[in-house]
Amino acid sequence: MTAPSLQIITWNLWVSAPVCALAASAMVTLIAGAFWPAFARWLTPCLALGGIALTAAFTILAGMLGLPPAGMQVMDSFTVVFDLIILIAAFITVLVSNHYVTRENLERGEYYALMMLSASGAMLMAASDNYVMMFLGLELLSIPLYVLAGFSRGRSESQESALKYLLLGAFASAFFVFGAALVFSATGSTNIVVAGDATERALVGTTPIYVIGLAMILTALAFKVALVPFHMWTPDVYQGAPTSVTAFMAVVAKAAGFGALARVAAAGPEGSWTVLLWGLSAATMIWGNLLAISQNNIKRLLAYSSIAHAGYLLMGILAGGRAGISAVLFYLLAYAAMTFGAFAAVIILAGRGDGAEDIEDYRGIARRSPLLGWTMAIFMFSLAGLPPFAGFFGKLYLFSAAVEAGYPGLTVLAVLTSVMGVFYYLRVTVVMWMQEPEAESGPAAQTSAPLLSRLVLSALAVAVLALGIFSSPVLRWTNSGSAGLERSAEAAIQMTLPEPTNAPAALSGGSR
Amino acid sequence: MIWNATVPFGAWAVLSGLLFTMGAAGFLVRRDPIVMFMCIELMLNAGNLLFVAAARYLGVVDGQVYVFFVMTVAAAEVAVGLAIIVAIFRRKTTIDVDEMSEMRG
Repeated sequence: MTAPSLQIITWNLWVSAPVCALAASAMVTLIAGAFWPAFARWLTPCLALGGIALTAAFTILAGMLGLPPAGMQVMDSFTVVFDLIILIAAFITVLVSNHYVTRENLERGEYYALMMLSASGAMLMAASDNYVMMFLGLELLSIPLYVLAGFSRGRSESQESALKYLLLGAFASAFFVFGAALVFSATGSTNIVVAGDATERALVGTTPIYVIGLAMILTALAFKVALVPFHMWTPDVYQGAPTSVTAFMAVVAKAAGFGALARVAAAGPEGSWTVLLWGLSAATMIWGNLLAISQNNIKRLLAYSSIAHAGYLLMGILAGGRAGISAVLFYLLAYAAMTFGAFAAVIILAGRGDGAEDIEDYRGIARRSPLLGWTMAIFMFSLAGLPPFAGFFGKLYLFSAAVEAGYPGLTVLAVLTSVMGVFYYLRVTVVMWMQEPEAESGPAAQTSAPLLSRLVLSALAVAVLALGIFSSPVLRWTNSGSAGLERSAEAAIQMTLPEPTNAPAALSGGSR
Repeated sequence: MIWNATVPFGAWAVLSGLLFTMGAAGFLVRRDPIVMFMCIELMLNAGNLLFVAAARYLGVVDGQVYVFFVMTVAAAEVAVGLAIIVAIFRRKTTIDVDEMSEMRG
């Protein structure tokens, strides 16, 4: 009798192996940075890259084992695809950070360790099929990010951004806890699928409480991915945080939120839930694009652009199903490549102390540095959604999934707001290519960068092009991810089918 | 535990709802980050109370276990939060959140 239970424990360990591997590598990085500060400059990024590669190997291995849901965490093909996207993003962040961290004297050992811990939280969020586990992932993602946002202690903007992010982030996570508690008291379970299934089959007479709980969880996740009207913190935090951290926040924190939303949305009740997501998506697309037009600071512009992209991504979540989730995963990958590219260019252009962050500072920069001019143009065209870049195909898949799922009105709105987006993205390119450089205005933008930064910039530009041209094999890969999400939902229901029947008796007994 | 059975679950739910609302209102009204933090703690503890009460009435221990996780996370959050507040106070000698408006756009 003891042998099978032992085996179950080993399987469960495999389910959480990738997250544990990344957290352990973060600890190694942290200790190495503390004990050998003299070598920290090159040792910690190398250890970080090694740890991320090791975690990717663990993820692929755990994915091949075909593990059953472990009750708290799932290792299905959705988790594998999602984890690999997060790990690719973390890998690029380390490469992009290197130049920035050296220039701004931020090379303390904990920088990369915090980034890896945060990424492990992102992986945990998307891998959890339980609200409490998801909360732990959310906090593991957020708490290191609060520290990272305030990492350049010399700049008061950085500290201000850390405090704003912290207060609003903690406020949002309190909503998450209370929402999870409401779901638990309404259905007797914190498992996403089981709780949703119990209400759907009306096993308990407390559906309104479940819906309120779910709405509060949605509010918390909407804060994290910056959906309108929960986006107020985004521009300030993105502007004040160190640029490399902003890039990480814009990609990994957003991706993690959407990974969690994909799992939660599948369990959401019909009707009011879809109306809620529809409204959030529409408001986010309109407001994000509208406010981006009037921005002069490039980091604020990218912050509002990231809000707008969250609106498009939510459309895929709303569409749901195999096509919708697959489109979300593809778009996240494309979005990661182009956003990291844009921020990598901004890191170089802004120069020491982040002096030149206004778009006007980049007048005529393309003539001084064709590399920066061309790559930035590619990233901006892709963000605007022009063919043949990755952004265009990402939007195409999202929009077609939304039309197929029966939301033509929202799709028309998305197309119209994308056209609005073309204006402000092209403005950056026009300033860089077509305007004369002005000598007297502001701090001069920099064009010189170490070899690594230029290589990363070129590689990201190639990736944006390649993801566009060879989009169908990548889409096949993300399709396998969305198929896994459906399969594990079915498995979770079958595993725990008899359990929730006890809940209503206990509840009505209590409220007598 | 006879006294416990006489308090209906609804009473616990209403109490935790009230605590949560008080916390949320305090967070939105007050301008001192330390008081805002206390309000967040109140909101988290409202959730904890609901978890424990629901677990008691459902006859399962899950809720009690979750409370430990939430308490740990809240402690970690406060540790980071107070460090950030101290760092800002040393630089600006004020921690009023209305003074934090260097970024506009």
